[in-house]
Amino acid sequence: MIKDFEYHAAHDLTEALQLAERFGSRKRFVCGGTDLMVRLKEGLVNEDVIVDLSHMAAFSYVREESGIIHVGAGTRHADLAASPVLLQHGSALAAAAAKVGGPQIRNMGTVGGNVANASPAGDTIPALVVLEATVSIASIRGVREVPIIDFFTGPGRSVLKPDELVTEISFRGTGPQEVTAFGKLGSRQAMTISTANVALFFRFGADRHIVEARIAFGSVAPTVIRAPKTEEMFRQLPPAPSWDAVRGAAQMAWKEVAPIDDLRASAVYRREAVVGLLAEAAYETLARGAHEG
Amino acid sequence: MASEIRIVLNINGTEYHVTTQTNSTLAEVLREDLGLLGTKIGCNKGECGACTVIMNSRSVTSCLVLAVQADGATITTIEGLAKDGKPSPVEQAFIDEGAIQCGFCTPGMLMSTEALLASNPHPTEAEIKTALEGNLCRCTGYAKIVRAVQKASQHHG
Repeated sequence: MIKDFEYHAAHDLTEALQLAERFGSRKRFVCGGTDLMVRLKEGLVNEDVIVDLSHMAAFSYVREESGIIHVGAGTRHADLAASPVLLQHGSALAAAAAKVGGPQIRNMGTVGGNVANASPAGDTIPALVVLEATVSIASIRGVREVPIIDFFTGPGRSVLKPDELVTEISFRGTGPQEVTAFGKLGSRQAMTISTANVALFFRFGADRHIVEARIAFGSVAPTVIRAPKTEEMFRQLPPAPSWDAVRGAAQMAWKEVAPIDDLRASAVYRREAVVGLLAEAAYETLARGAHEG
Repeated sequence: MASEIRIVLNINGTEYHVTTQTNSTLAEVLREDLGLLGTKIGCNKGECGACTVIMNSRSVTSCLVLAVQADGATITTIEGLAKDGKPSPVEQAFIDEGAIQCGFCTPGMLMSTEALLASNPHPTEAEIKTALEGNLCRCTGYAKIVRAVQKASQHHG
């Protein structure tokens, strides 16, 4: 049984921001509901007003303008996973969205919800971190933009103020010399919260060696993190590296993450998991990259 | 007290005007207000898929949808599959393949299969398994369920 609450539906952004300003920290936004509904049923929601964004049609889009990919916060995971624009210019985000929950969850849950919930295990977040995405945040006071890596302040916590709403996520689309990938480990194949997840971005130079590497891990620290020392190891790899060389570079991640023991896995298991996940995702990506162009 | 609300749902081709509470789920309204008991509530937190219905052409777990969010939606439930008392091709394939043990997961499995075949009439085995990954069968009768979906797809389009 869900507790009593006051319900308001927003049909456009103006209405949503007015409701956000009016109810502030008394309200919770709901769009797909895949997280909030579970929390409501478990009695974990303190707020007594629900503002429903699911009827805001203009909140769902993926479009490319002058090389920048714009993703509406209300875009569902199933639409991210199938987006031709993302498959070409941000494939890690499409791949991450395809690994969220199961089909029904992907038909309901949204990228804005995944970001705003600020779970350290959110699957789209490492992908957005390696794409160096910008989060657009609106309130009746105006719009501000925050780099995704600065958006999160702890597990379930972010820089969002009570009257603010995440409206869009944008990033520079990947080009021909750039590849991205996502990998996830859970307790089973589907319908699982990540025990650890990883996203990577490589840019190749003329001789096919990695000139820029971005690597992000989820579920292994209070927020999703970048791994600069591991990135440096990948920049030092020769073109078309062997599996052993890739595995060796990935080993740096063992030291660089800061996982905890929890009910899903032990900290040591997670350290081993991120090394394996990164090595597999990177080796597969490099093998694929070597055949491009 | 939660507030009473009036919503309109188009379910299996029939328009229903329902008075319910803001904190009711779509699954509760289907079962308790409309008596459409084919939709099952298992885990009641979106993990088992027993409450799967098709809402605006997409499969959703109706235990995670507030009824008020479904206001104005077009919904298909298990009761909407058979026509004139004759099982749908997907239902018939499940019967023929014996893809039913206790039967509790079956409505959800059927609705996920309907959603799959509507968008992908001839799925591979891997695509079938991905399409059904949000539905649990406690009897673990997955092999026969996958075979039933393959059989249904042969008769599809």
